[in-house]
Amino acid sequence: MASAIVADGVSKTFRGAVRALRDVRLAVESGEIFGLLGRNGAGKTTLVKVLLDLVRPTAGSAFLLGVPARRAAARRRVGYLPEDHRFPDYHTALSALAYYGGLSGMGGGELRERAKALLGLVGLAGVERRKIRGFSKGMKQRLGLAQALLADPEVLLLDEPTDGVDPLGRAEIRGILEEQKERGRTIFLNSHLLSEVERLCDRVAILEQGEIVRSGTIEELTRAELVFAVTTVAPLSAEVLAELAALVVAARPLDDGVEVSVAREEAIDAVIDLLRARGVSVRGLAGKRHSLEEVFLASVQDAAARQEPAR
Amino acid sequence: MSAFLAIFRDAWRESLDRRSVQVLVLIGLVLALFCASLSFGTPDPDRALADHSQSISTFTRRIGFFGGRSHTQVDAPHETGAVRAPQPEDDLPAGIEGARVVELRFHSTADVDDLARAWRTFRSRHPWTGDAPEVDHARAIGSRERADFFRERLEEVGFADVIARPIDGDERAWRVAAACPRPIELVASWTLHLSFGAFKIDVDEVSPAEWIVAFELFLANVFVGFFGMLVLLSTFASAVPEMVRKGSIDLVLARPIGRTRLLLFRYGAAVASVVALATVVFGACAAALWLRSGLFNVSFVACALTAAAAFAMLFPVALLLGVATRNTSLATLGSIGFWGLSSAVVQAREGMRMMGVASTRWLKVLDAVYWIAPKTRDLDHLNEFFLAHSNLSPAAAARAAAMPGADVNAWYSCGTSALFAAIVLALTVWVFRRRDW
Repeated sequence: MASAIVADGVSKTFRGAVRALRDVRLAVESGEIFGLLGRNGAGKTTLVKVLLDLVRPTAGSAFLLGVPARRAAARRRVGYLPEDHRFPDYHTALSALAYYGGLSGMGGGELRERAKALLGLVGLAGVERRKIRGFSKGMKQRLGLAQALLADPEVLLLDEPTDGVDPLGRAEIRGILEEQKERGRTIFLNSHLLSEVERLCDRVAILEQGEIVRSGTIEELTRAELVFAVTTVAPLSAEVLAELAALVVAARPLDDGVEVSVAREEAIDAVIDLLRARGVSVRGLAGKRHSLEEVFLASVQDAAARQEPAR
Repeated sequence: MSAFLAIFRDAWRESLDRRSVQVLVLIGLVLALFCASLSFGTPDPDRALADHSQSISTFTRRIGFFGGRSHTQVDAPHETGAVRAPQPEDDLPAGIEGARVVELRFHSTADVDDLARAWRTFRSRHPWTGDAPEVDHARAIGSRERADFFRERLEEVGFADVIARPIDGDERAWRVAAACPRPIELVASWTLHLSFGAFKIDVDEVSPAEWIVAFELFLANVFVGFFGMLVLLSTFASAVPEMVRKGSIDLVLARPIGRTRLLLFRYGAAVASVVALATVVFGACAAALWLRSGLFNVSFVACALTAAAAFAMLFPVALLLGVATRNTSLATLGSIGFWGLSSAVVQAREGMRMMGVASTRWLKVLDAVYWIAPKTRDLDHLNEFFLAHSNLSPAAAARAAAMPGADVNAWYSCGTSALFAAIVLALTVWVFRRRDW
């Protein structure tokens, strides 16, 4: 499957020697939802701007749908919702879409129909002709999503798409993004809302101080290697726990069993054998998973710790 | 094309939102209404011929449309007969339509000769400084030169086909025949009615046609060229700083349109908007004046193009400041300030030249700055030139365009101004393309 978005060794140093991106390499496949996580100032928005040629990289190159990002044609099938976007407030919702559609080479009745349909889709039906200066932040965010979808893009770059939107609106926007995914669209999502990313994204990368410190599928990132939860019918006795502790790296009692950390994956067999030998009924065995938040915090702290000595 | 139309509509929407278009249209309507309230009395050719024959020894010249008057009085007493229709014994050539005849009798031929000499001197005088060669009183004057004096003197005030002949070979007495095909171009007394006849002003020393052209020039250079330009620059100078503001520019540059095209389309849309607005204002005023006077001046409508050209020369400055600073106030005030500065330079240079300053260090500095700066002030003179030459007779056009020192080389002026605009625009595009947004 061809990569819809490629960043090939992208670095960006702003004036004043601020290194916003350092050798960023990533590829987002067509049809997947990709989440980019990072702290404020980690370089997420700069990376998106490099992809859209709003910011020129100091080194490396970026491609959208196989076309170099420097070329205007690369943005022909791309929709973008920036963070903190600002619509000219003299426009109505409809005229703003007509303006942005015109800049995308659209026009005529087709554009008008598409704009009306999209305003309906994002929940702005009935306020098409109201000036944007009278819109709430949530309404502007919905309008932002509508303009991103205007040219029926194959790639959507969304920077905090649910920012300022109420929970109901968030669910609606999530629904729209899922529908886009079903239609085979590629979505690149910048978000602080980890639960949202966890729910929507196929793959995630964590950006810290301009570098990608971790990346992979949600499954890969949240799986805690060599930590298992053993569920038992009754809580374990102190003796059994003491025997287990001698067998594994660490054993932590749970209400309905025990969580064990082992040195090698095969060691879990010995744990089960011991429990069975002591007459403990085992109900289940599961690899332990971390939450995305835990993974994110751990990655950011690791990266900070690695960079501290270098300073 | 759809991108240009989108930007054009966006520019209009912004102007409408800021009420700038409404202000300009209101100014246009008020001006058109004022024009429609005027009415012009047509001078009586007989009375004008009698008056000019009586005052034939007084030479008057206006200095440009709005300048003062230069007078020369020659002591040449004479009697003037009544104005009458030509008679067969007048022996006038056939084919002079509607000619009228008047006879003038001087005390001596020397008086006529003095008039002819003074007339030559008057005509060669520098109209601004008054410098002129000394009158050579000893120079002999022939019969032909005396006849030319009467002809030129009357043609200058709007008569045509003037023929002057000595009566019965006596060169103290002259029979002068003159036609007047366009009384509206006759320099004579007439009455101007304002506000649908509520006020009236008696006008002399200027023909109704010249007055109309002068008024059109006033509208073009002062109302539209100055006040209109202030409104236009204030309106459109904000377009680019608004577009490049954080949060706005992302939405625009994320579209499949190159930065150069985007900026040039912005520029083109603003200039096209100015052409449209100025055409409406000039067109409405021209139509109103045409209805009231019968004189339709196509060049007056074409002044919309010079207004747009002036805007096109200055707008790149607003674009450059807007792209470089993202500050609307700076872009607006900067472009207006630059306009004032360049006009001051052009005017100072013009003033020095009019005063006959040939070569000083300051003039050289002004010449250098003039070469670089956009010459919006020269467009005022071009308006003057085009208006005067549109539908006035050559004599009336010469009277109307007699602005000393304003010998504008249109190609040089427009060419160097366009070069300035192109360079500033190219610089703006370069900054816009290079910058990270």
